[in-house]
Amino acid sequence: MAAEQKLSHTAALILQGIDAGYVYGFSIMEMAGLPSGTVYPAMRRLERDDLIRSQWEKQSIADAEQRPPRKYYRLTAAGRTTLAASRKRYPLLMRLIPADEEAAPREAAR
Amino acid sequence: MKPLAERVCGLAERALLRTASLLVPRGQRSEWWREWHGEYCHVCEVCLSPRRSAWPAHRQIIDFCMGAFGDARCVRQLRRQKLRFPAAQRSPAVCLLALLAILVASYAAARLLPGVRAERALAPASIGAGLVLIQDADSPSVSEPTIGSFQYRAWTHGRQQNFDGYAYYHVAREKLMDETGVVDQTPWRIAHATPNLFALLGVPFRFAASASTSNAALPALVLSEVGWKRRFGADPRRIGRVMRIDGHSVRIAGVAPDGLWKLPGNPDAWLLDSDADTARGVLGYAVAHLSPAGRDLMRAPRIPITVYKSAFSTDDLLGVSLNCGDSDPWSVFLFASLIALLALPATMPLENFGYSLHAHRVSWSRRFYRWGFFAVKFALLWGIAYFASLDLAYGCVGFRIVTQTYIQLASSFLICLFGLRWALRDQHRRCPVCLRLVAHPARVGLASSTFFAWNGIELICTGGHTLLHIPALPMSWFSAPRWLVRDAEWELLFGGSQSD
Repeated sequence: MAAEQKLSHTAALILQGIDAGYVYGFSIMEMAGLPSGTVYPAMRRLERDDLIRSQWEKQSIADAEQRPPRKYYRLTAAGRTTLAASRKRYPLLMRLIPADEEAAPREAAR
Repeated sequence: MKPLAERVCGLAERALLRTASLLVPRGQRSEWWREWHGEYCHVCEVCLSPRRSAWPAHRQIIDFCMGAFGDARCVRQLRRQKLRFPAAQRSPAVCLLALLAILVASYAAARLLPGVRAERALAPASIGAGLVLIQDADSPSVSEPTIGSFQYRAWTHGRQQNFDGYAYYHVAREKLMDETGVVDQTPWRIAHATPNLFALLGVPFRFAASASTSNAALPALVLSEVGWKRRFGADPRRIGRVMRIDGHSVRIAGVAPDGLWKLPGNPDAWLLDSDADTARGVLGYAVAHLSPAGRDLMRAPRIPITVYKSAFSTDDLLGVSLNCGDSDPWSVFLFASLIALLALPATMPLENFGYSLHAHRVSWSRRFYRWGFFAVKFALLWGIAYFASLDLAYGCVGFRIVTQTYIQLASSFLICLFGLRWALRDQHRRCPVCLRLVAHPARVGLASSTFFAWNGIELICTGGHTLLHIPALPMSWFSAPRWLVRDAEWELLFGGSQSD
């Protein structure tokens, strides 16, 4: 069902951002240039539709960096399929947000 | 930026986040706060770098925090959507509960709105009952003052069998001066009335102040609600104070509730003075209360009264009943609901109201359940129509009584008519077995291509008991919607809903 879902441009942008390695709210805001009032509700809806999944950062990592833990988002299988469909629908997505070579491995390690 | 200002900004930003968190359902609040707090710390770290100016940075952080409200609302909305049970919404109990909630809300509004409260306190049996406005027989209108004080005294001093109480008032425009000497520029319409006027009408007044020893001898001034609000800002402490009218001291004795005064004159205040019926050269209004003998005679809304001044001269007066022509809200509502009932067949077909159950007999208990549900629904709607029409008509003070009556008439009629239409339509769409609303409409056939075959819309009960066939084109053999009660074989499909 989710694979057939047609996303709005904003939702596709966020999905592409997460795929590119921008895995928490503020990084997506900075990347997409969207306000917090748009990004966070959009992520809630994407999570509701099982396109992304959230996970809390380990407390030890947060303690080591002396900050509160963050909530990280990643794509689900359905999210990847939907993103592939969205890339066909919005061809500029890949050009707008190319995969972050540095961010992706770093965030994957968390 | 100074450290103190920095701290204030930080506190304001956290306060924004905390306020937004209140919108989030309690179960999700701590996690929501944890996420936003983590993000907030990160935003602060990025924005409040030593190289950046502090004010723009804080403005950016505040913008970020404002977004928390949108997110909190979204979380709340998603939670609601999750809790929504479409099947439960279709049940008859939910329908009755929703109607009951509307009824309670409209009743509560009727209890709280001062105008409605005053109107409901005006019991038709106690106020206006047995009261007659005495007019000159030649008067073109009841609103005209036609009775002179001399004529009133002569009439009341004569022997009367049909009346056992009288009051008199005349209206004059006078300026009101308070104790500090401030005079109102706009003159007030003061009704100079005999002291028994309110007792005769049976109208109680609010904030009734008892006279102190110093001002006990002063005439009592009863303010109208409108005048009290306009001149005294609805301040109850002004009750009991002394004012001056035309050079005479008077004490404010209370406030007459809005909507209770149904006599002509439309005064801003009433001056209860024992000399009211001795003024010369003015015309006023006389009110009389019918004795038991008089009530038997007063069957018509207007009765002629002949007063014998001497053996050769008479005064022809007219007694106008304050009961007739004065429509109490209940009578208006009954009339409007009757008209709505009569108008209903003109607005929707009623011949199909009864369930047409194709080749199936429904048990008496089911029929009773169905009709009982309709009766309860109808009773609740009727109550809603009554209280809602009262709220609409009398909730807003400032309308004239006639206008309020028309508003109540129109609103009662419309609510009753459309409420009944809805009740019937709703009943049509409920399964005759479990009374749940039917759902999942499916179009069967096309009227243009399968003219002689059955075509129309088919709906199914969510409990799986029945199918409702609504023909697209009414035909001689199939014109009314028809219910098909399913066989026991269908139980395989609706195994979970066999409780009904």
